[in-house]
Amino acid sequence: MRLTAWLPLAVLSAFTALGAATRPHYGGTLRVEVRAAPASLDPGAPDAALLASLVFEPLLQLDATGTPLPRLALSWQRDSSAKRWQFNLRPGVRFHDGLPLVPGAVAASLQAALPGLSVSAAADSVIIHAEHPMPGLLFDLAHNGLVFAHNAEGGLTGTGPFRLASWTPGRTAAFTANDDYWGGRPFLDAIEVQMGRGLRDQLVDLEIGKADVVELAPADLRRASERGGTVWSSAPLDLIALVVAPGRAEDSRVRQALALSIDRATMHSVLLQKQGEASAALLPQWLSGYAFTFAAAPDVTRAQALAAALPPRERTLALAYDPAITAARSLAERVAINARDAGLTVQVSPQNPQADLRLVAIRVPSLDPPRALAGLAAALGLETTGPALSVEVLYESERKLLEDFRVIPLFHLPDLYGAASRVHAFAPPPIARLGEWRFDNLWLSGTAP
Amino acid sequence: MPVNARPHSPKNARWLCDHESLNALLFALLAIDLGMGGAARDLARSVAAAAAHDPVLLSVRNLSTLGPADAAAIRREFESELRARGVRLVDAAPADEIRLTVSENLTNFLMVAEFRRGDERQVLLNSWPRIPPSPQPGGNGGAHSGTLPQVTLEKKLLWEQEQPILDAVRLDDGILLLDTARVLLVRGQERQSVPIPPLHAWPRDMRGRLLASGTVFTAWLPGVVCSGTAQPQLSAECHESQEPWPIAPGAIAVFSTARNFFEGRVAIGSWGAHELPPFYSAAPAGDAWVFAGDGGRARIYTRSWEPGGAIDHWGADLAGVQTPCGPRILATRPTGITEPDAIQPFELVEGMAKTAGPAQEFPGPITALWATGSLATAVSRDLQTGRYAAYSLAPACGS
Repeated sequence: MRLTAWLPLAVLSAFTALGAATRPHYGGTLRVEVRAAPASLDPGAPDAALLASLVFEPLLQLDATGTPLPRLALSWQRDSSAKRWQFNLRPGVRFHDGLPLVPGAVAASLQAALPGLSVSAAADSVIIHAEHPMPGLLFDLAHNGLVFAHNAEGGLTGTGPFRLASWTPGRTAAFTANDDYWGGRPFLDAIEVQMGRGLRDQLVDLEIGKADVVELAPADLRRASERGGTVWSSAPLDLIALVVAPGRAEDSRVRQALALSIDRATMHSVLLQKQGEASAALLPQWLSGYAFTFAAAPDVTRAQALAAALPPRERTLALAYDPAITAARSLAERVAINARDAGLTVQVSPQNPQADLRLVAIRVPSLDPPRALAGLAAALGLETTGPALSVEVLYESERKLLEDFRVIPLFHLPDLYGAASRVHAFAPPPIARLGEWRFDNLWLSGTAP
Repeated sequence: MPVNARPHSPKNARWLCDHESLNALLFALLAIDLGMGGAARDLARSVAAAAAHDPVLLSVRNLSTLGPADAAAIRREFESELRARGVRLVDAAPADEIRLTVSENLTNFLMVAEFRRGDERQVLLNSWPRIPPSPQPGGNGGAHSGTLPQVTLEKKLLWEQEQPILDAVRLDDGILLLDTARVLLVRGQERQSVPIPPLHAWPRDMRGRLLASGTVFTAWLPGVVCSGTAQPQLSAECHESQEPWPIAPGAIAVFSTARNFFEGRVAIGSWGAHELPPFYSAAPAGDAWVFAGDGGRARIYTRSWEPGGAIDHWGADLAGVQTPCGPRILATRPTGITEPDAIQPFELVEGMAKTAGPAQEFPGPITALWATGSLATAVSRDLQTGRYAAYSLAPACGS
């Protein structure tokens, strides 16, 4: 439950990986496989976010403790109300096409990424102005503020450590090291990404040496680390929740009975191998600090009482799940078993558009808790909350969003990766808090000198 | 900067949130830092109002990165304020329950009081801004072995700082340091620095070399050379240059402008010039030279540039140092960047590396090791604090 609770896995893995290392080596091609199959590398496309983090950069980034550090912005100031922020750009930075990073391009990028805010360019800086105080703007920018420009061919170009070398939509992508990167040329010469690979295929490719970095399901962690490989994880950032479809399960007693029947702890331990956190909150504990106050333990007796008071026809629910969600089918079936103990019948099927309930996975959209909560609420079809200036107001907003049980949070899960034994991180972690790839600090053993 | 949340009741909080015009004023008030103790007392007042004068069973837990002493202080403040407000704390049920949790998020520490009375449950929160923990001074690590060694290394801390140190040299009246952004002169309490202009992007795992003669110094960085003087004021001029770096007295080698290694072109006094495989560091060893390369393997070359064998299980950093016992090689271990490292003296005997003294331990990985004459400089990144510390290593002989 601690803020840094997600770190030990990555740290432990780093220790085992670097046991025989000396200085990092330059060179080599990293082979990566992912499930996502984005059609473009547009930073605004949600399924392209990971790959985009190789090419595009934000104004700032967070260190392991959550402290903002300069990236494309060297410094920043705000006024006393935190409505007006000025970000002074790092001099000498160039886009991959050779053009200099200028405030106008930054302002245009940020304006697209931060709707509702006014972004303008000054001499060597950009200015962001909001109608209301934005004390968490730095955290939002660290995640959502990738800077890009349009190149002469009409495509997008970035300033990041890798250049896009080739792109076959939804299938493959190749990136080469940016020799002129302001932060130093990456150790790797290139990264090759295969998209649209299922988790099972990825694991096999890791085991037979066809891939260096793959995504992992929680159940495959042990297997991935058995051959000297390492495991990396992000913070828990995917909300897994049950969402009641509009107009369905209108009697609040059935929704509450279902919520009270769910044994998250067992699912977390068995099906998810204790990865991430069992949670009855929308925001993960590391982001809000108060998620534990939302009771996650089952109360089967009370659930039974609520269910018993329902008309029999109200006690049956159809639950749909997206097979792409980690352990979705197992989780959905376990929900059905728990519900049965409470006297409810839950019929599980994949992608049933008529279902009363859906098992969904939604990524935390921001590192700024109020914006994260607003984003999650919008994605879940809940009434969007206004700006929260304090933890107390944020807590109260979240409590109200959940009080009618139309959304039943279950878990917050991290992104998990397995890496081959030849992959090392010069400056961990290779996966940032919100899952962005920091592959510019990876190096491969067995390369020159 | 993180923003403090001045505590107020949830009811008031909702009201204020609904009135946008007051938000700016509220925000200004929020900037007042009540701190940990103030937050505890304020939360206790809210809890006391809810508890009235009924007996209360209090439990406290800490889910934050605050230490036990801070958690205990919070408990003391909280209990003290509850008692001052007439709340009677008891040790056993039946009683109302207050579970106080100290927690945190990215910007704030939180104090969360869960108040239970029968089936009723009320959650009250308060917060105060997080302050990044101050790095602790680096440890000095490493004890000497109890045996009678041939060469011992006396380790002395020269300087420590947040930024990576590339090299350091002692002057008559101070210390001169080279880091990734500047040359720094430390002379008693006086500090002077000259920036190194960003003539091009630096490579990762950046390295640099600093040599001084009297008050004049030269700094070599990847693709850049700086020349300067420490008197009367510290000054330096830097320019892009492919000039080889000195790797030992009378020996130079070309360092890659965009990598962390020497390219392999090397010239050694009477040996002449030669092209070797790339290497990280090199050290003379009597009639031979040793070049540290890939994967903890050091290659030995004899006078005619003939391969003379290899030594495994050394790290990437070597340096040749003159000791009262004769020339020795200082070598790091083949550890990773997340492990403590050590530097040990070795002697090359018939192509074999023989231990010449006890290892000097460091609190983290060695990020630089250079030697000039009878003195070596090592830089280590402290794994606890993340700070870089430069040490001088003076070899002694016989005991």
